[in-house]
Amino acid sequence: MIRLVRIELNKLLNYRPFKVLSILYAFILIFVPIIILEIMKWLQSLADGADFDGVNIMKVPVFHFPDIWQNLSFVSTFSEIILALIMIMMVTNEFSFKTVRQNVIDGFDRKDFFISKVLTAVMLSLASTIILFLVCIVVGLIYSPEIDMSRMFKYVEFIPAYFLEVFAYLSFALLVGFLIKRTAFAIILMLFYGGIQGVVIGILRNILPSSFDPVYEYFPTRGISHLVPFPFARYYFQEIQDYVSIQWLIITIVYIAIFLYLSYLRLRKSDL
Amino acid sequence: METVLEIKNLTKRYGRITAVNELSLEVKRGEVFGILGPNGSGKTTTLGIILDVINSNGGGYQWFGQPGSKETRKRVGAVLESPIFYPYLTAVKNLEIVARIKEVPLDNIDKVLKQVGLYERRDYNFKTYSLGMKQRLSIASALLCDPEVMILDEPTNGLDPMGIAQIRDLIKDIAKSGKTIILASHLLDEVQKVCTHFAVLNRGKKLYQGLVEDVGKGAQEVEVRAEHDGLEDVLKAYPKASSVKFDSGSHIVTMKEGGNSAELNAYLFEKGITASHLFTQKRTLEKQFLEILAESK
Repeated sequence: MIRLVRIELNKLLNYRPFKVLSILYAFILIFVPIIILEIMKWLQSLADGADFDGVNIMKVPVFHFPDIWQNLSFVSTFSEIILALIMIMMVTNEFSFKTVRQNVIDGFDRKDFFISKVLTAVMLSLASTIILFLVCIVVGLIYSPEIDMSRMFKYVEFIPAYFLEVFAYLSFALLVGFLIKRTAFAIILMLFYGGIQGVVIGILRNILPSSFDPVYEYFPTRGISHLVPFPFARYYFQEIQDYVSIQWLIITIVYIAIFLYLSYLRLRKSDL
Repeated sequence: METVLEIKNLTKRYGRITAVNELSLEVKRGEVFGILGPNGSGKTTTLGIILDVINSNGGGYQWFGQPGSKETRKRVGAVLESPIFYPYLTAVKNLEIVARIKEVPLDNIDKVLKQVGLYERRDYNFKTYSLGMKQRLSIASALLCDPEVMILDEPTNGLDPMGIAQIRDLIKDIAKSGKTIILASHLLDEVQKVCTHFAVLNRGKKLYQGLVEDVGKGAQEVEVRAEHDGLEDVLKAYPKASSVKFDSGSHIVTMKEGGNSAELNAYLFEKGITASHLFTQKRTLEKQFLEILAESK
């Protein structure tokens, strides 16, 4: 296992596009709170200085413990597309350089190769989870008016949920990479996947009776996005899901299994 | 001698085309085994199958008497087609990956780089290398695990004459150290110069298998030229000639068993003919190869 990690790190850390994209990604993660602040300021300016239904947006406790765990986890999942592009690149490169072939000739079996790519997904997910955790701690400490140790980590379960969501998304990227093998096509599919899926759902909605509506939430990538649900509704006095639901946890894990199994199947059957 | 590689009835189909057809081969330890064949004869496909990058449709193979696995591949150093490396990594970083895959010490890297003469350029990216350097790096990579068997597929492809000579010397050196080498090539001259054994493939089938040293054996052919009108008749009358043909200005006499050019010269002199040109043709692998291919049609 450590051997596979070392091999992957050698491939990753010396690759300039990887360095550029991952540094960019880390910056975006770190600046998520600032982006949120800017959006809040913008909303405030829309209200022209007046209160929003009697609420001063700038005073909403977005960055207070323990709300911050879910708030930042939710917003951070928007940048996972960058990680997915990195993942795709690291898979499709092996096919365009034909190095997957040479790796096998040299003494990998297809399983070793596959596991080494899964390990890359784990490393990327883990790294961004750690960054997110640190950002939450720092920003939470700065903004929370008082630190109550007993409540501080109340919603921290969203951090492992975030990890799982990112990992599931990267497993999907892995599958796209192994299926398509060509970098450009795979990236295009990944970028437009959400849109394509939206169109398909729109068409289905027209054809099928509305009793099917809940089904659409189980589509790939949608199903996994419910792990960290939209949190901000609580600030306009609505009920939100402020816990990690077991149902969506199971669905995410099932999706991870499907994505990885199909990727492996594809790799095992193909001539390299 | 211990059998290193045994291939039995191997078959690979791509749609309607059969790239490898019921192929059987055996390579023993210490042999330098040449696999000859025109382009598209199934050489690379065969090597791909025995290295597990291509799935076969039938038949099987054994390395060192056991079914092929990643463990047997770690004992083999192989380069298929063009040299394959990570273009953005240096020679050293590339070989580190190979060493980790093969689970051999990283200390071997400097040694093999020196062996192929790339040590000074070790910290340059692979993509900056010339084709000759790339080929040499792939040989270095194949040598990294001190392999029991080396597989080289067209190792001199696209090289200039100097590069070809360098690679050839390298292969000869490696062969001298007692390693088994499997060399796929369509360059007959190359196989004749470095190999001990050879097999000829065409359209996925094995047409012939034999020793390179046997190639020169068999009936001799002697080229004769002389200023004499009746030369052809005189030659035909020679008791040790089995046939005579005329080709681009010379008469070519195929000798019977035991006949040679010296005796032919004496015979001509006796008949009052002075030969201006007398040359014993060496049977080359090229000639034999073309004959084998022609027979198969």
